[in-house]
Amino acid sequence: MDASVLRKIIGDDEASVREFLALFRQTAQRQRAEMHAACARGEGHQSAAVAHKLKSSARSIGAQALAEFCVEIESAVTAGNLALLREHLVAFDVEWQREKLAIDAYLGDGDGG
Amino acid sequence: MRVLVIDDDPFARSLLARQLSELAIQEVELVDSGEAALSRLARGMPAFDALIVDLNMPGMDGVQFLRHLARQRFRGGLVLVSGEDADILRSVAKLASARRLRVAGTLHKPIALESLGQALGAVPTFAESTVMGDMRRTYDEQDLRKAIATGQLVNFYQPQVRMIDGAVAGVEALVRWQHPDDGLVFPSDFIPLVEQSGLSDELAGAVLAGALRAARQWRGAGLELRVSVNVAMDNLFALDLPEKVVNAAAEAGVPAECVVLEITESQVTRDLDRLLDVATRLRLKRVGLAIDDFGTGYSSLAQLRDVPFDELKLDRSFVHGASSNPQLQAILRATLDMARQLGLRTVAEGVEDREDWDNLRDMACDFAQGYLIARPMPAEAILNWSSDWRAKGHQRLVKPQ
Repeated sequence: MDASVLRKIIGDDEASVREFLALFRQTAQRQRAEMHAACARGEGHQSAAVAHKLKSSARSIGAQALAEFCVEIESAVTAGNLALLREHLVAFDVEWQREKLAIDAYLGDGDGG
Repeated sequence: MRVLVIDDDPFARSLLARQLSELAIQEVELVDSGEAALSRLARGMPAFDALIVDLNMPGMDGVQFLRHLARQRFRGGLVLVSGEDADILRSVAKLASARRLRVAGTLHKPIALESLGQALGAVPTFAESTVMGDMRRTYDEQDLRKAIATGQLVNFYQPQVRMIDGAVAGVEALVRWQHPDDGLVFPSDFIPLVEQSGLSDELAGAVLAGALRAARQWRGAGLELRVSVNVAMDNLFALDLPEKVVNAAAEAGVPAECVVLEITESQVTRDLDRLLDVATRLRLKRVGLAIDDFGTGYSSLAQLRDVPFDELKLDRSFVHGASSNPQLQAILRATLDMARQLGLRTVAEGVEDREDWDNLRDMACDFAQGYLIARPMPAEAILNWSSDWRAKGHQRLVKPQ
């Protein structure tokens, strides 16, 4: 994550920056679970739809690598490759753990679930 | 300014809400789907000045939503938002403009605060003109016949200037319906009815007569202008059209070469021989023939091949904003090049800002028409406008040679 990216979007107010990082952490957590659940049901398109949203949110907090994994998830689904989708979801998880720690550290709470 | 945000993603909605508050826009409503937005809009007041629409939504997607919006004749500004690439945003914006929606900006997610501010800055406050489909008056044939007979149809005139020196060269007559109860009604709201009712000839006749009267008055005051009048291709099948036009011009004391008929094609041409007969005789009598909205609909290369036009009007959709759009640039350059080789006069419509003007001038387009030069105005206003333009207006645009 990169708070300066978020500041370009919502302005410099630090309380808002923290509020949005916390909201992102919470939303992304839920969307991650949704992607996995949809994939387990064999509904690749549902995973891709969630990844599409998460991609934009991730970019807005400067989590570029996470956004790139979302792009990979979308293109695996477009290619109709569920095995590849599962692979990308695993890679996404690893990156997500990294981002989550960074957000936890920024917010100084680490209780984001 | 009142803004409606339509985005299915809660995080994106919160970001936009925060951005709008940062931009000091207080009246904001948020909905999570196209369906919800349409039902909110159908409730009417208070009306929105702008909608911010995410194009990727489950259920009704952005393109479907815009189709419904066009049907409701939403008149506010639209800011289109997507995480997809720029090409898709551009296509959707094009689609929206073709449906007569007003696109104030296209923004790629995530949206920089500054770009959002710019896009919303391009939205004039349209709220009062937000007209919902069911609140719109519809007219029937009888209303229309009465309007023609009682002179409720009036011409507005939009100036055309020569790009090389800014000289005022002509005007396009644009008909409006001065309705006793509803105020000024625009052609898009009654021209389809004119065509269905077979009143095209009457309307074209009335518009031409009005334009010739105005031209006569301007000439009396020393201003010699070409007047362009819109004519449907259907009118061109009347074998006596050339005589009618020439007689009307003679009666008004205006030379036939100062009249241009702008032809729009709304269907595939059926009777080419007859068309060619009428068009050629018009040209022999020195009446100008312009192919209108070139490049759109049926206004195509085939028309250019078959009809002896002497003027080509570039549609606004190819002109405005072309300087920052490589695809439009290529089309414009090729079209102007072709027109030159065919010996056609070129008139660019939709010249709305300095960039449009410079771009067209650099490509050696002959004439320009659009809001940058002047909006359509009543006949009485033309003389004043013209002396204003000569005194100072055109110095802004025309570089000293």
